[in-house]
Amino acid sequence: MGSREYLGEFEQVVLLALARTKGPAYGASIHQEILDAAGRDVSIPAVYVTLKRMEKKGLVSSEVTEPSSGGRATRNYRLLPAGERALARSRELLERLWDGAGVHAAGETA
Amino acid sequence: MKPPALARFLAAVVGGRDDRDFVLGDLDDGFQRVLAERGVRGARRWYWSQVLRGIGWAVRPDAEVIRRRSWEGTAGDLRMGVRTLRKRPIYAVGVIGTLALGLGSAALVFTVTWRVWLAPMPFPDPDRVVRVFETEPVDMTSAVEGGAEQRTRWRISPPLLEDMRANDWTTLEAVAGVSDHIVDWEQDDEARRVTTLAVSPELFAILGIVPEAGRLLSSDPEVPEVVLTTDFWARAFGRDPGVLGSTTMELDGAPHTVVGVVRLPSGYPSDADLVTRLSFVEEQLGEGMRGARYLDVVARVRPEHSVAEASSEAASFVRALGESYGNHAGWGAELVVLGDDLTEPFRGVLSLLLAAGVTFLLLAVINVGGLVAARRAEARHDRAVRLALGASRGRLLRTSAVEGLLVGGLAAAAGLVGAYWLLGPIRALVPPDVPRLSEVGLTPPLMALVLGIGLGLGVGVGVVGHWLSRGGAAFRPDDREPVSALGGRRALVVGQVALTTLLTTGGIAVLRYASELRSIDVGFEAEGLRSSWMTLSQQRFPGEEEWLGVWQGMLDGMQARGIDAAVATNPPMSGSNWLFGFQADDAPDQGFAQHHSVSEGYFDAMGIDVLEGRVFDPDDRASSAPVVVVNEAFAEEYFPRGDAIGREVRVVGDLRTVVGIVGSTRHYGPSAEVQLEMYVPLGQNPWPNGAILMRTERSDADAVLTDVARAIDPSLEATSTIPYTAYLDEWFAPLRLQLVLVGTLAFLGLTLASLGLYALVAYHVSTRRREIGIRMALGAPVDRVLRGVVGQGLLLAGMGGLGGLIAWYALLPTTRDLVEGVNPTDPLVPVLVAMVVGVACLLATVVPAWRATSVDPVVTLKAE
Repeated sequence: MGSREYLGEFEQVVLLALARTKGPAYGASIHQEILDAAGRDVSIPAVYVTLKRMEKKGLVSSEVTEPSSGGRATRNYRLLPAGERALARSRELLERLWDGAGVHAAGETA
Repeated sequence: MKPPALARFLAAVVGGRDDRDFVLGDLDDGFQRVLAERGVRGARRWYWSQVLRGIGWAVRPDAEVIRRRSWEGTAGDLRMGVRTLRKRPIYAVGVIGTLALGLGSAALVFTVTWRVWLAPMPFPDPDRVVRVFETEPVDMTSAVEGGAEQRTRWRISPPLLEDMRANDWTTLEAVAGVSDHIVDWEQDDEARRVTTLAVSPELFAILGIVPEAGRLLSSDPEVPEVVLTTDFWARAFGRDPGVLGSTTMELDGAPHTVVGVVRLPSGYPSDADLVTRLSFVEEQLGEGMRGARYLDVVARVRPEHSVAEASSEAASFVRALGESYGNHAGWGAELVVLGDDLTEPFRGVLSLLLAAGVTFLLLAVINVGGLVAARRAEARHDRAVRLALGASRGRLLRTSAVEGLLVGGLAAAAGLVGAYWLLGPIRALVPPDVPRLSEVGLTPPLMALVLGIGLGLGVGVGVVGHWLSRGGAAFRPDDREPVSALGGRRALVVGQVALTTLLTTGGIAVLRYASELRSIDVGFEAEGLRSSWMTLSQQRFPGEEEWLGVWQGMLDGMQARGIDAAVATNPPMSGSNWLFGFQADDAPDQGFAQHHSVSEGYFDAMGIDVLEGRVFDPDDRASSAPVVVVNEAFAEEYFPRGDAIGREVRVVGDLRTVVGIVGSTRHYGPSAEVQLEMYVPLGQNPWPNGAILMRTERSDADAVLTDVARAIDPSLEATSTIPYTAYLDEWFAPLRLQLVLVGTLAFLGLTLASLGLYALVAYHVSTRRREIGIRMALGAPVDRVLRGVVGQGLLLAGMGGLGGLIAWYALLPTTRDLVEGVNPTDPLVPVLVAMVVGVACLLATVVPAWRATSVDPVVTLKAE
């Protein structure tokens, strides 16, 4: 279901961050990953909203952990195969579009 | 240091039940971190930005999810809806039919009201275009109504029109006269009759008419010009632009240059082939003609002045003329917005209609609600099953809504089709006098509106039905209607029957009024009478002697061919008004009376009774003593001692001796006051236009008329004869519109009330199915079961009928204003109607009653 759809930009960002996160991936860690890797301070509630929507579409799955000692319980997310496929498709789409677009990415010289 | 409380609350909302704790925890961590880096302010700002962006994201719809949900869900719901409706055809037809009736009648009512009344007239600033009336002196026939002085309005005579056009007005931009004629267009030795509007050239500016091609009439009265209307241009000249400026049309023997093409605005003035200049010869502008008030005159009020200001300026203008001319003495003027004046006779019935249309729609919706609710028990069962199978409540609501959408859409379509079919008969039944009725139609915006309303109502009804059938997943077999809800529905049915009774009574009252008016003695016999109009061209027949020659030639020629005819200038109810001044010999002031110049056979042909003295004979000619015949009303008012014969009356300058008294006619129609009338012999006072009246059944009357006219002069032609009853029909036009509309509404109301009653009783029977089954299994006689069911219907119908009657009498003062001629002293009508309505409603209970008795106890009990 929904596999024919392309991901939105923010969805891609969140999914990629999820894929990159080492260790348990939950809201705060994904937020941190985006901040570290891309320098963007995205909205934490927005990350949760997006994750929830992607979970409904079957791109990610989640489970709630027991509270660790001194810490809180977290909802940890995992990328599902459908999510990986969606990411790959979105990348493909962008690459196809970039090809022959005649635009140069920032920093590149002609 | 804590994060801002409001922002925290909002964050919790965004997080939702599942993620609230995680979101708040993560945000708290982030807040502390930022607090350490950027201080309190920075941390608060960071927190707010986090929350607000989160809200922005949360409220943004997820396109994909929405698309999938709506498509797959709706398609499924739609299939489900179709299945539900097909499974219960009677229910489906009932619901869709009821809603269609409501929507269709609302659409019909709305389009008629809009076109005939509410839509602005199709000229620029229609509120500044006014019709000009001359108003009678107060002491003549005017009455005081509601404290305000009501003066009888008259049209404008040619000399007054020309005075008004020449005047330098402060409040008016322009004044123009309009007069329609039929003229002969001679082309290649063949004459065609074409309808022509003779107008003052200012009319174009007043109505904002611009030429479609060529130019408009010039203001030079000496140049004979003609402007074609678009239809005629296409019909006669195939839209050839070459005819403009170069072609000459022979109209009534005079060459006119074709100068342009115009499109006439719909609704006013009347439709025509040609437009020519309205101009008058010397005699038509003489002092005596100031009493010939027959021209339709319109004007445009300057933007900086109000209609009231213009009206008072016109009134003082006419008052000033009264000092020089006896015909204007005491008279005034009044300006009325043209659109208002055109629609005035129809407004009462149309507002009634509009109210009825809205009420019907409302009733239809309520009835549908009743039908939907009647299915409640079943719906509950369905619902319980579907809930058990795992459907969500939201999903069930959507299913109901989509089913409603389907019902609403189908009903709107059916209603529009019905309205479309009804439009034809309505247009045919109502004579063309109703302004712009021919334009009434179902326009795309109207259809879209009806469809929109239908869909909206459908969804509404679906949702309400869903709400009614809520109440837990458990399926309770003994699911009884709460008493209060049933009571409400009963009240509704009673209300509908009452409303229908009211409407039907109104319809019958109008019908009876119409038939009463028809039986009023108008003073002449219209049946079997035919009339034709002739206008003598000023060029070929310049003076009185020639006119008289033509009229006498016509009468003699007709008689030679076996048809007795008469000539008259001002026959009653034909739309002509010749209110002339006169002076009875011992009366100090001038009076006003309808002036008729008639040939000897007139009274005979019209069937007007001769009461005293004599009428005219061939010896009453120019060289003999001037005589006059007056009507009964005239004699009673001016010679009350019964000594009218032999007295003298001065009419248009001539002192005439009264030789006879004839019966009064109703010059303005059956319901109007009887007018004073005076008749002079045609031989002593001929005019260049008049009606030829004949009492004949011969089918060749028109041919004889044409032959005789041609024999006198090849250019002469009379209009084809029309039965005199057509004038009466025209007069009855507004009344007939009322009849048709009220009748249609009464019928629709009856249908709706029957449906409502049916739904109620059917529902009642279905809830009592088990009880009936048991009773019949125990040997209860059929008629007793039947009596119970029908008895309920009878009670409701009876209460409704009674309520309608009470409302009828309570509303009488209002309805009398809205619907002309409602007669309160007619007790038989409402009683009859109440009975008819009651019986019709009762019939609606027969089907469910029959179904109740055909209940098979075994089947019923098994189903439980």
